Order: sequence, then C-alpha cells, then structure tokens
Amino acid sequence: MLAAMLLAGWLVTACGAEKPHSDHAEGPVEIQQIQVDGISIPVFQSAEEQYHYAKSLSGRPLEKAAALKVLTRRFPEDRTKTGHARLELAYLKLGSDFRLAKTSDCRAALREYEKIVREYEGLSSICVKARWYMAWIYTDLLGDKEKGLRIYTFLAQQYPHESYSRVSPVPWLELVFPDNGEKPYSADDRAINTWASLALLEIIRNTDENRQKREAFDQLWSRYRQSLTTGYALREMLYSGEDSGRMAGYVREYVTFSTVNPELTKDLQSLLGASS
Amino acid sequence: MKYRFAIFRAYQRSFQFRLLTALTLISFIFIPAMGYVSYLQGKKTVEKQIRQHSIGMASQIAERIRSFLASPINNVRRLRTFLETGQLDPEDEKGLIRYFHMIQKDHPQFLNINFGDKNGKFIMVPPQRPEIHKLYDPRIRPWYIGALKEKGLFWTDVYVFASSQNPGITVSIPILDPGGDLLGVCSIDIDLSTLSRVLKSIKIGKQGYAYIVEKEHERVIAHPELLRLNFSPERIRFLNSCLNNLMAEGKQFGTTTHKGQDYFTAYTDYPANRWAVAVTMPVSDFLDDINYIKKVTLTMVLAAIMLSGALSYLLAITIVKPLKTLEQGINRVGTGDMDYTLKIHSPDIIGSLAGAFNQMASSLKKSREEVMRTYLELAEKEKLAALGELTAGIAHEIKNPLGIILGSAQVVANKEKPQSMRDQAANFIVEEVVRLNKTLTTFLAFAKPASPKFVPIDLPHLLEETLDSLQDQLGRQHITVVRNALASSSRCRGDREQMRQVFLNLLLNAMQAMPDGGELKVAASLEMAGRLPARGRKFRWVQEPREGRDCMVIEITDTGVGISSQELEKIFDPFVTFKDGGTGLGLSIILQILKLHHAGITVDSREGKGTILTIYFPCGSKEHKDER
Repeated sequence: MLAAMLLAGWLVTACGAEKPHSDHAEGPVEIQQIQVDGISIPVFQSAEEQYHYAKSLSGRPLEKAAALKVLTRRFPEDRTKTGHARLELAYLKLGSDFRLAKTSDCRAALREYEKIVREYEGLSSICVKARWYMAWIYTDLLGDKEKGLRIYTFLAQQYPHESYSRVSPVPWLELVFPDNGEKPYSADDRAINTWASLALLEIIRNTDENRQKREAFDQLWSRYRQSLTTGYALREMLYSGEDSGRMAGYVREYVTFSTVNPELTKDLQSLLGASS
Repeated sequence: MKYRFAIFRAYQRSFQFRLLTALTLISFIFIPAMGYVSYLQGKKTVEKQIRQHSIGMASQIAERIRSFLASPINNVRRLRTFLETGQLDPEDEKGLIRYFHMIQKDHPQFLNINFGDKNGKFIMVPPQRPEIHKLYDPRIRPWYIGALKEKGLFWTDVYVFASSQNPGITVSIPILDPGGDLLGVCSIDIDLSTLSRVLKSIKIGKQGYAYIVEKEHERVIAHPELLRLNFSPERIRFLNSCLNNLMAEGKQFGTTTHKGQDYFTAYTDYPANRWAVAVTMPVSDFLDDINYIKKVTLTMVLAAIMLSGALSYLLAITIVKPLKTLEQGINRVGTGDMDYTLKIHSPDIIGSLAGAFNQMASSLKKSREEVMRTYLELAEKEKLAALGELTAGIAHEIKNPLGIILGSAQVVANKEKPQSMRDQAANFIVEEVVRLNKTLTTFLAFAKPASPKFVPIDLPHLLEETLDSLQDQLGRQHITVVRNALASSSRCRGDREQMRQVFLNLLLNAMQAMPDGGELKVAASLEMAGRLPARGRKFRWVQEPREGRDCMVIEITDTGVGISSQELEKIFDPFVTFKDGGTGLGLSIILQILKLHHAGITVDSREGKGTILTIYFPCGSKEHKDER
C-alpha cells in the first residue's frame, strides 16, 4: 500500500510538473525605440553603447546617421561621445564612397569639421580628428595640397600625442568569442598610431619639397620610430628617390622592431636593394 | 512498531480489510503502471521524432547556408574571370570601384568587395576610413594569405574586419596574369550578422536555435541572438558547450541539461568552411503535446484510482456485509436461536447462501424439536425403568425379611407352639429387622449420598489403617498382605470417612474373593498429570478421574477367584451382586463416592487369576481450590 502511494505520488510529481523554461524566461530587456528621420532607432542606457551601436551600422548610412543623431540628442553631456558622433555625421556628408564624392559634398563635410573644431576646442581628441579629416579632404579629395599640408603641419605640432587605434572595442565581439580572449586580428590591427604621425606621413606623401619631406621624416623617426606610419614613410622616402645610403640605416633599424608589417619589410628591403 | 502490528493484526483478522487492500493495490499499482507505460511509449516515440527532426533540420540549414554562400563564391569567381581575361583592368581603380558598387547593389548581403594587388594597393567597396586605408596592407590579411596558400578559392576563419570592426568571414580567390604570375587577390566579406540573419529566418520549434560553430576554434560564429542588441553571452556559452559535449563524445546528436531543462542538439558538418551547423532546442518544445497527453492521462489515472478506490470500498462492503450477516446468523443459531432467519434479498450467490442457511436453520429447528421430544420420552422411560429396577431391588430386599418376620411373628403369636420355638422365632424377627435396617441404611446411602467434607487426607496412611483393622480377619483367612511403597502424603483432599469406607469395601471384596487364602497386594504412588494409563488398554475404566491433575494411585490386587467379563460389565450397577447376602450396592456406593471426589477407578480381572482395582485420586493445589 505504501509502495502504491509512493508510486502515485511520484507519478503526480513526475507527470504533472512542467519543467520551467528558465533559460527562455531570461529574455532580453526591452529596449526603447525612437523614430529619427523616419527610422526606428533603439535608445541605450549609455552614450558609449549608443555610439557602438551606430558604428556597427556599417553600410547603412541613413540608419547610422539617425543613430548618431540620437546620441547627440540623448547624451549631450557626454562631450567626447557626442564629438565622435559629430565627426561621424560629418564624414557621412561625403556619401557612401568618398572616392565618388562631389565637391559640394566635400565642402559640406569641411564646414561640419570646422564647426566641430570650433565647438570642441577644448577636446583635443575630437579636434585632432576633425583637423586631420579637413587636411585629408583638401589634399586627397579637393586636390588643395597647400591647405591640406598646412593643416597637417599644424596638427603634427599641436597634437603630437593624440593617438588612434584602428580597433575600437565592439561589445558584440564578446558574443562570438565568449571564451577566447585572443581575438583574430591581423598583426597591424592592434598597432597604436597617432594622428600626428599619420599627418607627417601624409606630408611626406603629398609635399613636393624635399626639405619638408625630410623634416617630416626626421620628426617621425625621432618621435614615432616604431610606429607603422614610420615604415610607410620609409617606403615613401625610398620611392621618392631619397638617398638610399642614408635610408639604409633607418631601414635596418626599423625592420628589427616587433611591430613591423612583414610585407612592408619585404618592400623596404626590395626598394633598398633596387636603389643601391 | 506497535501501530504496525496493530495494522497487521487488523489485516489478518478482517476479511474486509484484506479484500479492500487487494482491490486498492490493483487500483494504485496497476492503473498508474499502465498509464506510466503508455506515457513512456509516447515519450520514446516523440524523442525519436525529435532526433529525426533535428538532424534533418541541421542538414536543411546546412543546405541553406551552402546556397547562401554560393552567391559570394560565384561572384568572386566571376571577378577573377573578368580580371584575368582583361574585361576588368586591375590598374583602373575607378573602373573597379564602379563595378564593385554594381555587384554590391545586386548583393547587399556582401559587406565589402575587395581587391588587393601584390604591391599592397587595395580597393574596397564601400571604402575604408581614410586613416585606416592609409596604413592598410591587404597582403597581411587572412583572406589574401589564405587564397595564395590555397591557390584557389578560400574561406577564412572568422576574423575582425578592419572596415567595420565586426567579425565576419571572407571568401577570396587569387588573380593571375596570363603568364600565371600573381596580380592580386579578390575577396568578398560576409558579416556574421548577415549569416545570423539567415539562421534567424529559420523557424526551429518554439524556442530552438540554429547556429554555426567553427570547429577548429570551438566557437559559435553565427546565431540568431547575434542580431539582438543586449544579448547575454551566457546563451552562446551554453550552445557552445552543447555542441562541444557532442563532439567530445563523437555523437551527432544528444541531450544536454541546462538550468533544469533538457535540450536536444544535433549537428551536421559543413566541411567547406570547417564548420558545424547545429540545432539546439528545448525538449519541452516537442514534449508539449506529449505533456498534454500526459496531463490528460494523469488526470484519468487519478480519476480511475479514486473511482476504483470507491468502487473497491463499495465492493468490499457489498461482499462482506452479507457475509457478516451470515456469520451473525450462524452465531445466533449456534446459541440456540432457531427462530432466527437471514433477511438477505440478493439474486446472486449470497442470496442463495442466505436461503440455504434459512432452510438449514429451519431443518435444524425441526430436528432439534424431534430430538428433544425423543430425549424426553427416553428419559421418562429410563426413569421409569430405573425406578422399576430400584423398586424391584428394594422390594426384593424387603420382601424376604418381611416374609421371615411374618412367619416368625405367626410362630410367636401361636401360643400352642413351644416356648423355645417362639423364642427362636422372636430372635429371627429381631435379626431380620436388624438386617432390614442395615439394608435400608445402605440404600439411603446410595439414594442420597452425603456430601463429602474435604479435608487434607493422607490416603496411603488411611489405607494402612484400614488394612490394620482387618489384620485379624486376614490372618484367619490365611491371606498374605504385601504393601508396596505406601509412602505418606497429605497432598490430597477428601472426605476421610467416605474414603475409609471405599478402602474397607474394596479390601473386604478382595478378602471375600480369596476364601481359601491368597495374596493381597496394596500399593500407593503419586503419578504426575499426563502419566495416567490411556484408554483402550486391557483394563476397563469404570470412571476416569479429572484430567490435568496429579493423582494418588491406590492399587489393590488379590489372587482370588476373579470376575468374568460378563460380570465385570455389571459389578458397579446397583442391586447387582454375585455373592450370597450382598445388597448389590457396595461398589455402586464406592463409585458414587469416587465421583464426588472426581476420582477414577479401573478394574482388571481374570477369572481364576485375581482382580486388580486401581483408584486414581486427584491431588494438587488447583484441586483444592476447586473444591473450596
């Protein structure tokens, strides 16, 4: 009788009880959505999340612009993030492919960058990027190398230590590589460069004056010797017919650095061999 | 323990309890067991279906992914053809950009379309940021290196795109000039979110997931959750562990438990990319239907248990109640209530049984009345016969003396008779009156025996005394007395005078049986209860003593004339005597006295050899109490 009661009790518990759908109960927290320019954009808790979300909308310029606008409106107190958002919005003025941008688009972008420089004067991380982009538009898109070089030169002097990384941490990456701290970047993805070193490289690439070129290279070598930009600068110097005897010492030393791109090393050694 | 024994006793004693237990066991064990077996069968079938469904689903998803990835493969091959045949000029940057834009317009799922030449020149649509492009070298990218190494179509592992900083995969192909020298590598990037979108569009049960795992690195690279903004990585870790467990065990499907819930996982290899396409779904998704059936079954089982329990109870009551009534009837009839009839009106066997019982009771009543009537008649007849016998005995014993007295009285009254004759006649009258008085006294002793006065008596000693009083007479008759083990014992209680009378009568009988002398043996011994001679022995039990008591055994043996078997049957009957001058009441009185003392007596006699009379006189404390 006892066994029968136990069996009946077990049946009641075993058959009657539904297993909890615990895992599926953990649904995501609902994220508020707002409409900007006719596009529904999620609103995050922090400016940083909002910024990362906007950055992830690569290839969807309209959505990206709307997401950036949300950031500037919802988090005006975060000057750094709104500054970066403004920089992104200014870049979007160039259209989906800057190589096909019209002059008017370039001018519009320039005006935006100028406004950013004025409005974020105290934030060097914003101003340096805005100035670099202005110099780049002048030199590469509008062909006004004089103006561009002037801004590059100013930037290199004014912001010698403002760095940028080509890898910005995107939280979504954590979802894909949950247990692997080592993310599959290429070697040069993690190299930290400065806007100033990039400006000096652009001066070397764009100036017609050898003196200016050498001065820019000397600055690069003295300040950012192990930087990737220095390697590219070395290649530019060898391309431009700089004295190979003088450059050989730089190349020999440069290729010993651990941050060096192996293909660039091959280029440098090849150019050095060709010129000698 | 006490409670358990009480239940056990109740179980043993109560037929109703046993019947109810048996029926309840059937209800509580067999019905749920049948329900459970059915549930297990259903579950097994569903699990089989889950397995087939999920493996099939994984294969279908792999096919869809193959179809999805066929597009970038075809496009990158087409690009190679155009570049190698000169339809596109690798040096014409603007031309390549425009063509790449055209491709992307047709295939928005392509994140980037790239061409990198052997000198490090790089064209990408849509373009990279200028600060990235300025330092970008395609030759060190995974897709470029892989295509050169593979010398053909190559799929990268998941890596982070420099353009979007999102993870993705790239298909690439080397471009060769007509001479077979490398011109560069073309590639198309697929963002993992695009792949995840494909997976999200596939419905897998209510809560199932399809996902892709890079087998080499054991990581989930595409899954529907990737498209969610605030996704918890815990889910991905769980999915990863599901698949890794299966791979470690070398199985293609299996069950994993996570947070108390079972998940079924199946996967199929996707060798082109060294991936595994997997499906994980909660077993509950598929068990919903079976759970519904389970609930219904459980409800029915419970209802069946309750109903059968109630029916079992009613059945037990229905069966047992008439039986109890029958038992009561038997008891009533057993106690003599022959008028009792069972009032059970049932068409089944119980009704038949009750009818048979009533008929039996009625027959019993009639038989009893008949027996009673016969008994009364017989008793009356026996009484009359006994009275007649007694009267005849008395008449016989009185008639002879009265005849002598009458004759003698006539002689005394006849004055003509000589005085001496008249004196002799007067003496006869006196003798006969004395004799008559003795006879009547003996008769009274038989007809109305005195109640014994129980006192502790030493029977062996009493026997000795009686024997001593007869010593002279014994000597005269030349009778040798042998006394065996006449140890003194006062354990018995009885009437001293009556027992003396018993011994005296028996000893005198023995002496009378040896007129020419002989040997008289007397013995007394104490026998424990249970050691009395059994029935059926050669000697005859005249009367058995009370059972279960120790006995004082008195044995009187003579070597006299003995008693024939015919006489032996009647020696204790009243007024039966086989010797001259006897009243025929001596042994009858002895028997009555022994009866009053609950004592027994046996007689063993052989004609011409002698007689053994044995008295079994009960002794012991219990006997004493009884008598008090």
